[in-house]
Amino acid sequence: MYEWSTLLLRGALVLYSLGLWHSLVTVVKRRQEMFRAALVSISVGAILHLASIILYGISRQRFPVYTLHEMASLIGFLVTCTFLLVYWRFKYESLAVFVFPTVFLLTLVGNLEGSVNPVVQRTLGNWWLVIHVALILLGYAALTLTFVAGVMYIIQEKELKSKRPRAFYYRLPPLNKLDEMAYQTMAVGFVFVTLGIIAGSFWAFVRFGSEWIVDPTIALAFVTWAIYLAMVFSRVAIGWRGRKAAYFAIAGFCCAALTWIVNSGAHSFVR
Amino acid sequence: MSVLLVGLSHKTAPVEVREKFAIAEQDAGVMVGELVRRPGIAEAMVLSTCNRVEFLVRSETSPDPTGEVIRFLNESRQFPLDVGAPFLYRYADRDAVRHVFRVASSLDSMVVGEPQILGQVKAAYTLAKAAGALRGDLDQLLTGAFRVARRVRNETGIGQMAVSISYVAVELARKIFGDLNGLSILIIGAGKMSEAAARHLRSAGARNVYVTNRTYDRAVELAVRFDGSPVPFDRLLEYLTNVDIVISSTGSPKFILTKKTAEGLIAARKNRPIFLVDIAVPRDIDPEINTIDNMFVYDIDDLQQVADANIRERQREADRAEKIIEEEVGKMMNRLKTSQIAPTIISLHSELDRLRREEIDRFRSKLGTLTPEQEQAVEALTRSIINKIAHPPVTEMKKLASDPDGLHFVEFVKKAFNLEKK
Repeated sequence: MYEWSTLLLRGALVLYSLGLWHSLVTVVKRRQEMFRAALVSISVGAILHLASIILYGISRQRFPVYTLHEMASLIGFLVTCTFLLVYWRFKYESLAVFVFPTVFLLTLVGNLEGSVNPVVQRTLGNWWLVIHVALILLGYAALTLTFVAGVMYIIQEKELKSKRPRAFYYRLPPLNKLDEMAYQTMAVGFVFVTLGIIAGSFWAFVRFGSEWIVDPTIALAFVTWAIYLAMVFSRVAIGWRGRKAAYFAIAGFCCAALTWIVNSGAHSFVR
Repeated sequence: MSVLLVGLSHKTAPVEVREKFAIAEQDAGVMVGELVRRPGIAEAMVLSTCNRVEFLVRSETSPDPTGEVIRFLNESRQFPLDVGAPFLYRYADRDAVRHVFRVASSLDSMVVGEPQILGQVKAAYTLAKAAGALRGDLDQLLTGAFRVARRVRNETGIGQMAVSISYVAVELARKIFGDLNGLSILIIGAGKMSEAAARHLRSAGARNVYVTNRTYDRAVELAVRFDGSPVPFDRLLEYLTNVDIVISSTGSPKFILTKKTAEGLIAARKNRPIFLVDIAVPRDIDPEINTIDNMFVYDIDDLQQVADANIRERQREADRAEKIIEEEVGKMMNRLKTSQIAPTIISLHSELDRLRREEIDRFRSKLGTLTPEQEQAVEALTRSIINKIAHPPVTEMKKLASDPDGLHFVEFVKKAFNLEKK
């Protein structure tokens, strides 16, 4: 079963790279009809990916979020799903060109596992924790799209402000749509992450009392959360948006990525 | 097959010559009917726009119908060949196919990618079709040209970028706001350009148009013209807080919107983006405002700069379009050739069979009375001879169906066996 999951994951990786290639041709060469092929590859890739994750979970008898590889693979899958949702809503092909290198990288990292079989820890054998991790990963997937929209916003804004249109001007979506995309994915991501943090904190309080709050990785997680809170709040209150907001979204994502890397596996205090 | 195109266009002839050749719409149908009745002309089409006059013909009997077309131009007296002759161009076969494809795809237009030309070619096609002047390969060539034009439009961005300043303003508004539905516009002052831009924006979906001027009466007058609502000039700031697009072209000697005011404005707007188009000279809007987040200022030179970039981008797309055209010309030549090969094979067989029967009849008296067996033997013998003769050219023609130069051989067979006259 484990072999099958590896095989399926490789298949997904190949399909994702096909999807990326077709999206590149769509956007660079403006061959609209190529995007159908990209969407098919990406969707089939996502199905294989899901099957691979399920088989892997069954073969390891656990929710596959213990190692960096497992998490990368799962987030890659979730980002793909989020992308398909956002594409369905906004219909901008250029998004794929920015999202899919990330998905490809994450899935590639997921693929690299195999030689080292990590010691199976059973700390996550608790529904609270599974919910905690699942919600946060879902939130991260949405925030990845926020990050991508932010990057695209900054590029397109530069093109418009420079008044000298170059290749990107012709190929990227309008600013307002990017802004909408960033805001909506951020709002959804923020809600998931917040719920995830609540679930995690609840479990930690019950299990460890309050000493874990001083753990540096936890502090970093809270800083990340606070950045997103500030962004969502200022958007709602004063309509804060534009270039600076996009830079903040990118900074927030970098913090989130750092938080993820230092926390992958389990928090230090859990061990 | 011999397809020939004779004509002149903005590329070869100045307007003084083009206007002399231009054909009135009501005459074009008659003219194509006359042209197709000329000796040696099997099919014809006449295309006349303000930038080009072209005669497209196909001949079945003559390898080069140029002379006939020129005689036609001379005799119809409408075309002063003494003036026009040096400006005429002539394309035959493959080059003619390519030219028709390029014209229909708007690659030969004055503004590359302009969309009108395809409609004009279609209109010319309809006229020729109605006059009964299209019924074979030329028909196939033209319907092919429409398909190629569609392909070029779909697969390249040739027609996507705005090249006139007022359309550039609309394109930029789209790049900022995405969808223009329901946006509101404020027009300050008057001018041809603001009128054009406002009209384009409105047809792109913008809803409310407000017009203001230093003198209110003038604003009321302009509002009628723009189909908008007049706004008193002293309430300018209030409207600037609410609208999405501003088009300014007043005669004011100094900025009517300074950076300081704009900074207050963006806070009052809760950071909603605003697009400020300044087509006044001297300028109405401080260009420094462009540095403020969510505010986009374009003056007349900036718009021109975008238009120029768009033209360059169209050119890049045109290069890709040329590749598509080349590919399609190859396909079309093959198709036309295969449509030539089958009739040639048939007429070769029937010509040889005619000769065979003629010869049998001629020798019948010398042969005397034949038994049915002998009759059959003569029949079989002569048939076998003509089949043996026909075999090599027929196989060769079939083999050459995919060869770009195969047509020459088909023409050669036609000549060698005297098939042209039929």
